[in-house]
Amino acid sequence: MRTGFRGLHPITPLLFFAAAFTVGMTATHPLLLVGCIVSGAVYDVCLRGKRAVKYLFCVLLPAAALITCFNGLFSHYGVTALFRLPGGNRVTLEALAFGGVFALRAMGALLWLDCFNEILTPEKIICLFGRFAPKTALLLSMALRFIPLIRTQSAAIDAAQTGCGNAVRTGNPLCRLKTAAHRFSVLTSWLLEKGIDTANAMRARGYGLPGRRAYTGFFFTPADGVILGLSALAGVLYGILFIPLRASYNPVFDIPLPNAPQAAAAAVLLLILFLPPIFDFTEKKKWKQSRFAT
Amino acid sequence: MEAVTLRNVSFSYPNTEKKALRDISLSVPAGAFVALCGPSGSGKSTLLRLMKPELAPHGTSEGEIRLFGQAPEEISLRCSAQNIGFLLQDVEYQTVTHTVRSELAFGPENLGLDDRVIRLRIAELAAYFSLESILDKKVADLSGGQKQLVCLASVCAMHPGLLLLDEPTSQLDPAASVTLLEAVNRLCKENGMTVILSEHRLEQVVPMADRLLVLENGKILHDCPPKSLPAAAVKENEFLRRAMPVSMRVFADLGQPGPLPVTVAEGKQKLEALFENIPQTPGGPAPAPARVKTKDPAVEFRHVSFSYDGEQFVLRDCSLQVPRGSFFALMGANAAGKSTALALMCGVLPCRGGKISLLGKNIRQYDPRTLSGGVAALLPQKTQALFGGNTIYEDLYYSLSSAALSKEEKHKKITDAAAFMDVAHLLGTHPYDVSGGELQRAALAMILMKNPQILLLDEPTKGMDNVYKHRLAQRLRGLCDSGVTVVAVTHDTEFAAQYCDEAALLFDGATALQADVTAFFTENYFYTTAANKMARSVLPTAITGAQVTAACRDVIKN
Repeated sequence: MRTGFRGLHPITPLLFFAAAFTVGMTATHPLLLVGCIVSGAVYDVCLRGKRAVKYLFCVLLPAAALITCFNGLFSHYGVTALFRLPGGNRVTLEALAFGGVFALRAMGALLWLDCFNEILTPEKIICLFGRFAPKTALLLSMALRFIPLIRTQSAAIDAAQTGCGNAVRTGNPLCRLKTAAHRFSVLTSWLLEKGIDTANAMRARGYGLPGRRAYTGFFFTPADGVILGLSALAGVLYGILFIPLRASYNPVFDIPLPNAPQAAAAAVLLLILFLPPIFDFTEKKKWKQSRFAT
Repeated sequence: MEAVTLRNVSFSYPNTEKKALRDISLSVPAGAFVALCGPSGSGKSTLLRLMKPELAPHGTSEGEIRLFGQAPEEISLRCSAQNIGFLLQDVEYQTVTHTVRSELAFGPENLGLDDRVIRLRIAELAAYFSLESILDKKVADLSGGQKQLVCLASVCAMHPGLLLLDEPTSQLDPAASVTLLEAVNRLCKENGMTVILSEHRLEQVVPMADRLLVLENGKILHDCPPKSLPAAAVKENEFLRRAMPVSMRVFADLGQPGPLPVTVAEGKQKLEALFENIPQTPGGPAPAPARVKTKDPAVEFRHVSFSYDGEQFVLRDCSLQVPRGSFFALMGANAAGKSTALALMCGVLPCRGGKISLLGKNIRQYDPRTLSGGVAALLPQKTQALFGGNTIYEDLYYSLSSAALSKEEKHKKITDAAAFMDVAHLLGTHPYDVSGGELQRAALAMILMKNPQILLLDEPTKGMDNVYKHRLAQRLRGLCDSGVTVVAVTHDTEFAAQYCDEAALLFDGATALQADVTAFFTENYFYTTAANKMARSVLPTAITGAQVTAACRDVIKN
């Protein structure tokens, strides 16, 4: 059992990330977009450290810059011409901005997807499936068991075949293809034969009885309730703000300024987006200090 | 109450004349620990599977089977799943799901138990089998021993009254086997579970068992507590003479009155009593002369290092000399680098640090096309990895595909090799329809067709019974006499002591000890044979049962 977001019932992070992902994918207003990206990036860095920084600066930002430039070079709508290309086409501020916004939306969605991957481990996804599709959940779990097994098995076959000299590692491609085909047939016979063992072991333990249930080791706690409520609130606020804060960049910039209640709603929404790192940090701090009272 | 009652049970598989089981009658009271033994093919698995309705083999059976008073046909799937646990040999394929926690939950989930009950069962099992630290691990990341323990625990999650185990330790190393067998013994002694277990490793099982059931050719040969097994029976039956614990073997051979000692400790007491009035020659009898005459190495490692990932050394500055024409045992704990050393010897892995010489020539100077197989050939631990055709002949033919021979020459080569390994009658059979020992011999035939000078074996005795081991060793010794060098990675101390010339112990990727087998095992205190442990106080240099028996005969004569 982990503290923070990792320890919650899987449904909670699923719905939270769904909300954050939707904001990232569909927001057009720069305020919401930037808020969503910054919160996503902060949480990704909290979760994955250096790897997330590398992902952000070496993959996402260059890709975003590239998309922006592409749109600027190949779309020519808008009214503010910045300069002309040698071919005679204009490069406009609006086209660049539209490309930039598109790239930022993709970036926000990808950052939150990264967090999703880190928090929702295969066990949690299987647990989510177990509720409404127990057979699929079992199938997923079995697949996760068999993939590494097949990998070690084929490595064993490769080593065995090479070690006794049944290998054509050099020479014409046809021979090498034949070697590969033979190894594949060894692997399939092995897997089919051993599949009988698995089926027997499952049957021996009562698989096939009616009324199978899916067990999950996760609880729904009060903290889950609070965070689910806040996720729902974020969804509602975003729904309210979606129309009034819709910005468009073609043919002219039209970025609405929020009025006071809208600004307040947006502030609450952004605060909720920063919830995961705040929650993780406070839990960590809270439990780090627990010692025997002296 | 009787857990299992069999009355005049016979069984035959479809399309065979021979009966797999003949006229078996036995009754097992609840809470008993029955060890089922017998040579391969004697019907152990068939008998066990008849006691689990879902796994019962297809065929015709006669007689009466009662499980907790019920006939197998009357037992529902639910009742069988709850009351009769079955553990198979294969550690990999009887796990179903991907984490330990979900594996333990699998059985109770099938029964439709609710979350609270399943949670409690997992909690209990984790505490009983000490699985807390691996509960959230992936099954794929566990060691073989851990996997089998998880399988046992997940069978116990259903709270069975009867536990059937079909050679559960055949794929485990000795340390992991002891852990598993002790867990089974605890379930029997502490929780009153009825245990019926078939096993080749009798050294550990026999002392635990209340009853020993010896099967041969589908018939019950003996059914008695291990202590009451008649000495004459052990002496005369080939299987018992090779398979029983060394203490029983030695005293059966000596023909001393009284019950046979079952454990090493009992054997030690009896031996010490026998030697009490004998003036000790200091150091005991002179050790047998070293069997290896030549010092000319067939395989030489000089400061060899190896790493798979660039972070962790598997071999570190390992030096080793395998004399030409010798039968060499490479021993050591798991992950000590034994299999890696073998893979380096036959060129499956490249030698990047240090120097490896084969037959006096640097391994890098060999043509890679003839090195693996032609110079040094490896017999893998799981010989299924060499067979994928419809018949064994097809696979043997495939392995000659790069040889420049005519069809007739290839055919002759195959039939000769098969005849030499005694598998000629199996050439037309599907590789999965023969026993483990037969498939291993077919694999050896495949390898020997290429005439390698160095034969490398990875755990050749795993899952084999002692009679088979003896025949295999005879063949390998024959190869050594004709000049082939045999290197076997093995955990089997008895096998190494009995048949090998020299042994090396790898530890932390380097050679901790290399010596001829007598010196090797007498120098070790824990890592040695049961015969040596039993006799070391009176016969320090005796490492096999035969040596102990011979020394005792001399004492009795005088």
